[in-house]
Amino acid sequence: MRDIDIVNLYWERDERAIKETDAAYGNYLLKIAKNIVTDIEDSKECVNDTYVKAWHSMPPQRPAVLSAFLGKLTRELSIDRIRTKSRKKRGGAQYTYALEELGEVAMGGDTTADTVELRALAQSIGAFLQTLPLPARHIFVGRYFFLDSIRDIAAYCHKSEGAVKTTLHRTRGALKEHLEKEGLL
Amino acid sequence: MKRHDILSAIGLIDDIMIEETAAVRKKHRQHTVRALVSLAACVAVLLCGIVWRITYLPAIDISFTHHLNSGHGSIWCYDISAYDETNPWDSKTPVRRLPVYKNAVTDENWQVIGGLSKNEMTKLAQKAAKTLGFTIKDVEERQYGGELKFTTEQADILVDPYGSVDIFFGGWGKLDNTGHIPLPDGYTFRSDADFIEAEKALLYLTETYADLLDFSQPFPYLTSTFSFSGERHYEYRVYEGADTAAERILNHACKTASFGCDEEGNLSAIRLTNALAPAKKLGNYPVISSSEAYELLLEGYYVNHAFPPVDKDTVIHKQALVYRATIDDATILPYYVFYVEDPTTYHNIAEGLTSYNPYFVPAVDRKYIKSLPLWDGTTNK
Repeated sequence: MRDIDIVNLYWERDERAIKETDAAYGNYLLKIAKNIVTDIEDSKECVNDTYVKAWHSMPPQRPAVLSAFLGKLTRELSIDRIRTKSRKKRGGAQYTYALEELGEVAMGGDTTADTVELRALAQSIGAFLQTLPLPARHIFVGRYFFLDSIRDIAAYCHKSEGAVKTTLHRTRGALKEHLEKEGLL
Repeated sequence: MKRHDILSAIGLIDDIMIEETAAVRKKHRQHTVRALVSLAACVAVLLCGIVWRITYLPAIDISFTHHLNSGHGSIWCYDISAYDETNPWDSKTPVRRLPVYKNAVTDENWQVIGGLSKNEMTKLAQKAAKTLGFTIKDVEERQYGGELKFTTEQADILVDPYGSVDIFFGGWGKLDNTGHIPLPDGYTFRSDADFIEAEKALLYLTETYADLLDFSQPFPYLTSTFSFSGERHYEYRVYEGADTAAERILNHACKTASFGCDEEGNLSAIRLTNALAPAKKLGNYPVISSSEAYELLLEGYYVNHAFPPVDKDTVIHKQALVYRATIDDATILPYYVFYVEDPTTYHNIAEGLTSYNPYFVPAVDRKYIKSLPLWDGTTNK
């Protein structure tokens, strides 16, 4: 089923929307969740929560890219889950590593940004990513949006793990400079 | 701003950038899945093939191109128990399975079926010549049997499509001893040498021509033949040893070498045989016991052409497990051979010299044999 048809099912309040979404994107969303939370059951719950949130979001929203829309929901729900469920419970390895790596960019910061600042920050990061060569952008998005492991990224970008690490290191440095110039750090 | 904020902000980037990376991930995953499915399919096919190869054994054809050779001839000796005593079969350690091969044979018109190609034969000759330090100068295809004759300055090398390589020092078909190779002083290399002398010469030859033989475990042995007047003649042989009894039994008949001498004690020829070179393996077949083979012998299921039938009163003087791999055997397979004293009365034979007739009973379980040869009162076909 095409994305537009799935979205129409949501808008028509047809419960087949959930079933079709799961058939089309279930594994994709589960992979995102598993990269962030450790537990497989938690991951499945995050995906189920994604469907619930999608059900409540459409309408009014009509996403142009359904996969990205759903992926963002799963990612957000998974991060929220490991932040709020238990402070003692660590997130998945890739989430933890990615967070540590981004500490280089956010060095010295100690206050949490509000929603408006996050949107401005997202726009600035988006503008920065537009300047990157495509392979570097895939590597960055793979690592910090999808929270994929270095090994997985190396595999789907057809590069060595060392090359992926080097690219990420350089990109983080460039992002830090960019955000400083923008006055966001 | 905390690092969590950076991570959260990245979660809000443009959908298009997420989608383009998702497409790269998906493409790789599909490729990987396809590769895994292909691999799994290959493995499944391979496993099926292996299982099929292991379990499927084609029916064996026991037939002979030229009937005169359908049974080995009588053995003349004084003590049959000493005959072929280097046979690697041990009745105390029976083998359960033995390999069987489809043989390269000649048809009724002496045309070779399934033999080595000319290219393969040439490679065998080149290898032999190179090992001996000879240079091939000419090649001639002989009229019968598909044999090739390679001429060098020191020897003629004849290779046949059945995997045999004959090296005739000084040239093939010569009547004198020119070009034959003398052994060093202290060695006696003649067919009528005594056992100690013959064994010493054989060990020397095996060691000297080890590269030519190219056996990983050369097993030299002497066999005896006797003239009607009772004179013993030694044949100098080597076979390729092996770690398993099954391989040794097979190699004893199929991977051999022999050294020929002239009357002056010079090395006149070397013959290398590898009957398995052109043969195609059919599988490892279950082997019956020697007592089961004996029952078949009594029922007349044996291979030979003119020996009279045996019954339970017939004395079996010796038995062994051997392969037959002549160019007339359609299939190279193991047989139990039973030696029975020849009842024929011969005249002018040395006293004590006795003739024994070998009866070959196929050692492969009869359910795998298309038609077990049954003695029909005249000749087997």
